[in-house]
Amino acid sequence: MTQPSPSPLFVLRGLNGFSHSMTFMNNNTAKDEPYQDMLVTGSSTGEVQLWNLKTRRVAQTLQGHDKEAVIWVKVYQEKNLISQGRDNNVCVWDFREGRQEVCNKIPVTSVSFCKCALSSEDNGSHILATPTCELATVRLFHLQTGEPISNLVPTKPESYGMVMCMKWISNHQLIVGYEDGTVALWDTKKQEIVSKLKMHSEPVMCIDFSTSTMRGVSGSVDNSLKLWHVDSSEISVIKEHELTNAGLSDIKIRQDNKIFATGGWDNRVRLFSFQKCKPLAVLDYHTESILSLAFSYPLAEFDHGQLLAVGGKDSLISIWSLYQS
Amino acid sequence: MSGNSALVRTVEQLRREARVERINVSDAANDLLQYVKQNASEDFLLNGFSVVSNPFKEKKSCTIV
Repeated sequence: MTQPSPSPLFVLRGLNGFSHSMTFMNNNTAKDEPYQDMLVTGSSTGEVQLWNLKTRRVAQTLQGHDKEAVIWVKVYQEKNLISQGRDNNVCVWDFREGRQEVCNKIPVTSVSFCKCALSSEDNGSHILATPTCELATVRLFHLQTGEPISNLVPTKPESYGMVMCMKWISNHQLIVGYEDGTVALWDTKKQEIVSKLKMHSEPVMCIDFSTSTMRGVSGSVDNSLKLWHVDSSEISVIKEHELTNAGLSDIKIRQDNKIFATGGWDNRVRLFSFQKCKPLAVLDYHTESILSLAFSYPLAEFDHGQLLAVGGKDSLISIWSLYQS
Repeated sequence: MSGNSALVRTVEQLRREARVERINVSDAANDLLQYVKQNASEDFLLNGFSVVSNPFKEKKSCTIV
């Protein structure tokens, strides 16, 4: 690396605790205010905060998880927000007409840090996949009604260990990463594993998938980064990259499928090309482990660039604008 | 140079920690749960203890004035 490490576009400070999950949303904070692009963060102190990217300050704070860490925030259908906290609840937030209330709560019995996953829209309904207190078990719920649908349990749950991360790749296919390093593709309608691969030797920490290219990436506790493909319901590894420092906490593919970012325990974010898994840049800013990453949709405020938000254990959120071809 | 020995000690400590044997969180959690359940009968905080078997009982001797 002959060039010096780039600097962030700006840094958001003032977060209580650190952010476990972030996402971008276009929302307004009060009834007659204009809609603007905001960053939603779920902090370890139980607050879901909406940051105004222009003023770089917190515009709204939502307290819905009884001071327990918020480990996952997700925006669906552009205007709705759900958050998962370690108080064993997934809260569905109501923002209509300037309200900031929880309109529905779905129980999640798991006490681990595994994030839930939300399927894309299917006739106006979404399915929420949640981890449970039972080993290797995923529970599916109807998001709108909160009704449980089914449990996805593999035949020998003890060999898989805990559910570590999940990602929907279509309305009836869910990818689950387990503690023993296996990545499995489930058919949720038939409730069976279609394909599985022991991708890593250590727990799978993070997964992301691009439905347009049918390719995914996974990161683990060990130092291997895997780029894989789902072809006619079969998972196969395309490329493997050996990381300089082991341990990844988060991995995210940019919406234009050009690059993906990995956040590591070595305090650095690494950018790779999605096509060939070639390392592009190392972002060296945080002084502690990276915990969460989020790519935005094209933001009008920033020349339609897709920003990368990085949250670290040092309570800082750095925003980067890179490779905006 | 004065900080050198402190750094050497830190590196040695980190090396020792890296050599520690690791098992999965789910296995560790189950082991802990099992241990606690097995030894619950011998736990004084749960079942109390008899005054006679207390080894830390303060010995009060009588003084004759």
